Order: sequence, then C-alpha cells, then structure tokens
Amino acid sequence: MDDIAVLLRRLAAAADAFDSDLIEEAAHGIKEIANQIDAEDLKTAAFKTELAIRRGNVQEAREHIAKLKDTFNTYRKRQRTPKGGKKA
Amino acid sequence: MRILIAEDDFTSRRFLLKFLSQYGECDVTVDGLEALDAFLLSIKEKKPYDLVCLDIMMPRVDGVKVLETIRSLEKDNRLKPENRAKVIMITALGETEYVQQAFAIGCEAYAAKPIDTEKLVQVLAKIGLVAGK
Repeated sequence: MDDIAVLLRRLAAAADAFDSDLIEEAAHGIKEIANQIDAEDLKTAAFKTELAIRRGNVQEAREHIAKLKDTFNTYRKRQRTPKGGKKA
Repeated sequence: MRILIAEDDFTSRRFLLKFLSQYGECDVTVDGLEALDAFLLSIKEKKPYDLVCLDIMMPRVDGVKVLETIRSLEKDNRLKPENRAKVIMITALGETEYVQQAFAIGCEAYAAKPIDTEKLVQVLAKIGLVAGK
C-alpha cells in the first residue's frame, strides 16, 4: 500500500505537469501492484487511467485519477479499521 | 463505435490509433494480457467493443489465444452473434498458419503489415462497420 501511495503522488504530479508518459507509467505501476494484492477496484481505476492517457484524453485521465485516489483512501481506511468497525 | 487495439509495436500502435480514431473511441493495449483485461472490463461494464484489432505476435498472450478467449467469454456471457465483436487480426509476413487458426476460431478478417489504409477501410466496409464506397 505504501508503494501505491508513492505512485499516486507521482501520478498527481504528472497530471499537474500534463506529462502523459509519466501518467501512464505511474498508473501502470499502480495497476500491477493492485493486481498482486487483488485490489480489483484500484486495478480498474488505474487501468482506465492508462487507457484514457494513451487515447490522449487528459481530462478523462484526471477523472480516473480522482477515482483512484478515492478508492485508495477507502482501502487505507479499511486497513486501519479493525474488524468490528471501531477505529483503534 | 468502440474499438480495442492490441499491438506491442509502438509505431503500429500509434498508426492504428490515429487512423481508427476517426471511426470511434479507441482503447489501446500493449500486450495480450492487457487486451483481455480491457475486453473483460468492457463486458463487465456492458460497453462492448464493436471492433477488436489484434496483433498476432504479442508478449504475454499471443493474438490467437486472445481471440480464442474473447470468443469463449462472449459465449459464456451469452452474447448474440450480432452483438459479438468483429475481430481483425494484424499480421506480419510468415504468419499464415496463425491466420488460418484465427479464422478457424472466428476472426472476421486480417490485415497485413505494413497496414494499407485503403484496404483496411475496404475490410471495415466488408464486415459492416463502415459504409462502403
């Protein structure tokens, strides 16, 4: 998850800089890690980012990056919340 | 029209993307496994591809295997024949055997590299995806 956090920061910076190659690279990295940990929603959002940026659609890529961030935050919260629902 | 392009060669990929973008929204994948991921996603989100262009020689999963899996997924998801993706195999010289296998599995057409755009348009018309001249 820490690796994904790093790549997400890289992804956000690449999106701010309109750097398509870096966006694709970071999104691909997130997709690979998500695949390894069976995080389907994360994988899908990362893959959609890749597909959008390859198509040259930066706006759509940004929308998927926002979704990716939300999905990642949800995963993080779930990880930090012990079974039973109450925060530690 | 929704189009999936699966091609590992950068130049061919860019060429197909640029050319086919005039006909619809293109998704581009760089190997066979990614192509299958994109196809699965399209089924899951009920946004099927109308056209799939598959390079025969690709890393991870070759084009013929991808085609076989696509047809199997369509069958498993009970897609009517008229709703199935039209598949064009992209071939290099000396891949005749693979092309024959692809036709046996159920591709609609093939296009040889380097791609001749006029011929490709004729193929698209022949399989009913664009209006013929």
